[in-house]
Amino acid sequence: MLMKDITISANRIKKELITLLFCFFIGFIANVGAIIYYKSAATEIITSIPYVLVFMFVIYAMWGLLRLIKWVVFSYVIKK
Amino acid sequence: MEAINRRQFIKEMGMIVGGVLLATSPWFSAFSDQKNTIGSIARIGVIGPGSRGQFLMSFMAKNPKVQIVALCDIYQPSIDAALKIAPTAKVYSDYRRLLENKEIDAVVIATPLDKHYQIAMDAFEAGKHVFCEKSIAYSLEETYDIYQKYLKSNRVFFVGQQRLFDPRYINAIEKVHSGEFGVISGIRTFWHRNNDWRRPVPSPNLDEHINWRLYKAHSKGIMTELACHQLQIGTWALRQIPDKVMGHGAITYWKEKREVYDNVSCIYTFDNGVKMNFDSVLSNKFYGLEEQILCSKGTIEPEKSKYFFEEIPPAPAFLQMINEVENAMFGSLPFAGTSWVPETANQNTGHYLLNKKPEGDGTSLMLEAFAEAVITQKQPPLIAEEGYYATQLSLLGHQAMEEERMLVFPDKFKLNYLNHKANQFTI
Repeated sequence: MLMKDITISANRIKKELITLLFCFFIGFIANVGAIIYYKSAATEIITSIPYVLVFMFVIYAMWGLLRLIKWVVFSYVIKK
Repeated sequence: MEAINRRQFIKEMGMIVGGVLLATSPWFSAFSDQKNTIGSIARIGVIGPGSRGQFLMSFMAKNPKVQIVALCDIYQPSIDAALKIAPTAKVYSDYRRLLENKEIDAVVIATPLDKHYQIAMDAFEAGKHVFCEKSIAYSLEETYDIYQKYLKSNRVFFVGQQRLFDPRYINAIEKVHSGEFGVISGIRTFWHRNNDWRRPVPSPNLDEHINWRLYKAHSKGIMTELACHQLQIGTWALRQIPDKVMGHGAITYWKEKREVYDNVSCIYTFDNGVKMNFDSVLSNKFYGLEEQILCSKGTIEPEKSKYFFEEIPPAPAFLQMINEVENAMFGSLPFAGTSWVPETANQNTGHYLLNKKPEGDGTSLMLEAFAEAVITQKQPPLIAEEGYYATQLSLLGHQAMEEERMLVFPDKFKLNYLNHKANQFTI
């Protein structure tokens, strides 16, 4: 059985990285907001980075899920 | 064996050299002449080299300042095993002959409890320095007499309270006395096991000889064998002697041929109302042993080598936020379990007392200190008095359980120590 080559364009990679960066930015802002709200130490901007990174991937995965649903709806429901 | 480097020891324990340390542990002064005693030898006779005696000998045999010159026992297998540790030691079957030997500076008494009294009294009479395994003696009167004999003898007297030399405990008590943990509100001690203490015997007529801990004629069981170690932590930490004790003991599980309790609980009360509990159950070992020093600002568990502060920092703000959002979304669901993030605080996992894992439980250091004291003929502070009160408190606790009533520490057995004043009509 022949394997089909999948080509990911540079433009696509750039778009995904920007999306990921945007997710990180949301997490970062949420962390800063939480630090102010809960009157925590400012050092948590750095020390909570691992949590922000986990948050980033969760948001990215949720965004990916939305796009997958959108693609399924467009490809199989609306086109048919 | 390497000489103990006090400076290094203190550094490792993260302690401050000062009056507090000197007051909390006898080890510091015991090793003060360590360099001057190089080349000197403490010649020691071991009376009762059974399992505990051999354990002590295993440390002494490694100390270049100790020579085990004599052994005394009436049980040949113990002598045979002890001779493997000290092959050149002279063997006696009567301790009085051993005490007549002028070459012996000191004796280590590791016999059954009921034999301690006469041997210790005779040893002081013979001018020997004495290391007596805990508990000191079988009764309050005997213990008092031994202590008075020691005072008059001008000899060194050590009691096998090895926690006084255990780096974990020294560090813990140092922390308590520094005030870092606030005031002591209570002390909980427990020592649980799941065995009957019975050892196999070659013939039934040797049972009482080998399993002496199980028989009332020779031992007070849990109190004199286990509690006396832990009760000493209470007096050391609080720098007070409790005034009252009540308790209850029973044989609940190991009923066959056993005369001493296998299930005890005692409450000791100090002047200020603070209480020290001791519990022991010999049919469940889940919680093992520990002394929990409960202070207003934290808890110390020296056996685990850990301490815990009451106030702990809250979870990072980001996690608190996630937690609140999660609670707002799912908190009302009746089947919801515990949150996947901490609620408002980090789990209190505590901190370790020492930077490195301590080697041993202080027994080795205690025996080295004894050898130093024998050579210099200087009695380190606390050890005789802490040993004395540990024994008296364990015996008093046992008496309270036997009589099923609350007992007050008798004036006639008080020493001039801590909050106690010696009875003026006694020596």
